[in-house]
Amino acid sequence: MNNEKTRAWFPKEIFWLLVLFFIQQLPLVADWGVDLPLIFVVLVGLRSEPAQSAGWGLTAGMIQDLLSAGGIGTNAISKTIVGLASSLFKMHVYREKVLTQTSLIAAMSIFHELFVYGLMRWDGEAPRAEDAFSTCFRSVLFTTLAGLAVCFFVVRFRRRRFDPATA
Amino acid sequence: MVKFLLKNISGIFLVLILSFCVWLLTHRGSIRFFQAPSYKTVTLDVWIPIQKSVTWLISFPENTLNAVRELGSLQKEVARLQLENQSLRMELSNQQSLESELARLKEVLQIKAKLPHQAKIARIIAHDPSTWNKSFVIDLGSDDGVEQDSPVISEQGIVGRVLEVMPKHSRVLLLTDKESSISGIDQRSRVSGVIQGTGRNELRYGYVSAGEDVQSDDLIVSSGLGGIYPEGYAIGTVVKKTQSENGLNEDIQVVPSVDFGALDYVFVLSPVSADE
Repeated sequence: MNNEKTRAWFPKEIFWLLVLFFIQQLPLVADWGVDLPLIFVVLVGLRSEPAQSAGWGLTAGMIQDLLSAGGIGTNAISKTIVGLASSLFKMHVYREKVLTQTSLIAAMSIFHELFVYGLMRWDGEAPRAEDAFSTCFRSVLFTTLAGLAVCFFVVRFRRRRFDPATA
Repeated sequence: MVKFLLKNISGIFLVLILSFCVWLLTHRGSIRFFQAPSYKTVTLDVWIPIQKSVTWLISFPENTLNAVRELGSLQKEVARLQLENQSLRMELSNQQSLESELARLKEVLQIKAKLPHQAKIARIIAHDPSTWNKSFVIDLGSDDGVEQDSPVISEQGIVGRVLEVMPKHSRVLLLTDKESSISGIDQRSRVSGVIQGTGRNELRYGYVSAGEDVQSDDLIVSSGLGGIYPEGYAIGTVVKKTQSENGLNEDIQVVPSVDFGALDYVFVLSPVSADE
């Protein structure tokens, strides 16, 4: 039963993941430092089991690494953890509230940027601290703002579809 | 007599009216009412609105029926015109877009003709999806003769170098990437240093000793050292200069000459060693 449910749910997620990556590689999005795959992983994590969320995190991170100039693994590891953590937090985050989801996206974005910076430092490839701070700050800010917009539409869409009062 | 009058009353009445009309015709010039020019206007002013209402009342059912009959065909006509309007607008928009593209390509070709090095025009396909890396993919690869470490420039200055070459595509590492570095020289004072990427839309002019003559708004150009980038191409402009913590070097911030977000075409030059 559960497997059937999961199978029916995949095409939509794969479609959105691909759309997000097409958008992610546009100059404006890349220039602002918005991390759309992270928003995807958090939102999917809030709606699925931990193992599945970690899988989506790994997939999104791996694609990001493959399409990027950096080494493979950094985003994959970080986004796997983000997916897992988001799924574990799902009992504590009210999914029909935009702000609670956005807060989780902001928190996960901070964790992701710090984790990647930590990995780069460990690897000896990290930029200077002030440059890293600026990059992190910009990315967290714009990812959170983009997350706010995405959550707004996700919540509205879901309410319209499932709220019997408005159906 | 009275009997005769009563018997022929209608005939007499007719004769009287005719006589009155004849009298009117012969005497209208002397009667004031008929002399006034407005008598016709007054008559028409009274008459016309009534006539208009009557005409409207008579023609209303016919007009309504005609309007109902024409409604269907009018709706079709409106829909057709709307479609035509839409298609014309799209055509116009496409034409404008093509004109803009044509102008841009002409500009690119003019720049290419002026370049001293052999250059290939490449289109940018995708930007780096990761926050920490600055690169993009172009539509030329090894099949088009692109080699690793080929310098990539735009009309504004140096963009970066080819990092990975695939048969049909290549990845270009931008100057702003944290892994990027290029030997530069101050065009005004000829002070040389190394331009390093910061991972942001900013560069750092490093390895410049304290007290060297580098000022704000100085243009930094490529020095040609290092064997990757040709000499004399713009890299960026100095915006801020502070002394480093150890006091031995200058910490110089440089804004790239190239607006990386606005790029759509770039020039891939042959590797410097191949040109020389």
